[in-house]
Amino acid sequence: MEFANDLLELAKLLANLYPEHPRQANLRRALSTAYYAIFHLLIFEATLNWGRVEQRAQLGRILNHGRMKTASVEMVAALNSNAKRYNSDSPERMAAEHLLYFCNAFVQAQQYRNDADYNTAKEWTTTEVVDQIEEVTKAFHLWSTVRQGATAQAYLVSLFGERR
Amino acid sequence: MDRQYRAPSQRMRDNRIMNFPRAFVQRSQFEAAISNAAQSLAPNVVKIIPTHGDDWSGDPAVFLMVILTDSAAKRDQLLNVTDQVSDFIDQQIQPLEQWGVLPYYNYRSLSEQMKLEEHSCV
Repeated sequence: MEFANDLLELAKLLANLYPEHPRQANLRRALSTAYYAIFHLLIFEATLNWGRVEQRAQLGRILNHGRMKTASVEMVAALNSNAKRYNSDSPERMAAEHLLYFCNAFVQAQQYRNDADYNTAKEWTTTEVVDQIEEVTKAFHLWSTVRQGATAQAYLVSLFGERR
Repeated sequence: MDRQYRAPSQRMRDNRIMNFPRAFVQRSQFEAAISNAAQSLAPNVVKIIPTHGDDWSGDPAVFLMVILTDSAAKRDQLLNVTDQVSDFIDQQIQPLEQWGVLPYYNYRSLSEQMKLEEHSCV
């Protein structure tokens, strides 16, 4: 968790270097770092349930970007389809909305990271980068409120692979 | 929990039948819906520019470049405004559920957009 938090702090630092004349390299590295912050948060959480502490890093390397995206999109679809089942002010609805925000933020961050690292034709602005980092920051906070819930835990399991 | 949903990339693995998302087939209707959303989100939103394509993993996507007024793009308001925009579009238009595309949102201030347009004209 500390690593993920440090990456998020680094992303903020990079985004705010040279505020009068932001450099594309800094903005791109900020976006990429923000993605890796949320990526490593998920890896940390997904491997935390593994009893053998010394194997958690090895287990984390099984996770891959594509599967994590698919799992997140599936969770978004499931949460959206189930949203109407809950009263608008119920704790269950609130938890579903928080997890929905987190999953959406992960999918967005991943695409931003890909564009930032590989699409040299795109020019980034400070607003785009600051907004993205703020979304990831909010996602971190919301995750902390739902991480122990059954749906969030099922989401973590789904990151490892498809159901047969 | 309903787990019937399959991500677009998974649904398209059988390429004997090409399935185009509704947002691509009915592009003008989709763009009209986005334009109406932009109007509903005024005055914070100046315009929304949709671009159709595939995302990094090949899933059909719509990239929404949302141009905000400079005041709406100020740091102390930015996240509230952008959350409001994405919530509105996700709920009213439902790009994934109704149109078959993953929505991706980018936000720029009007002055940033104008500056980029000036650069591209030089």
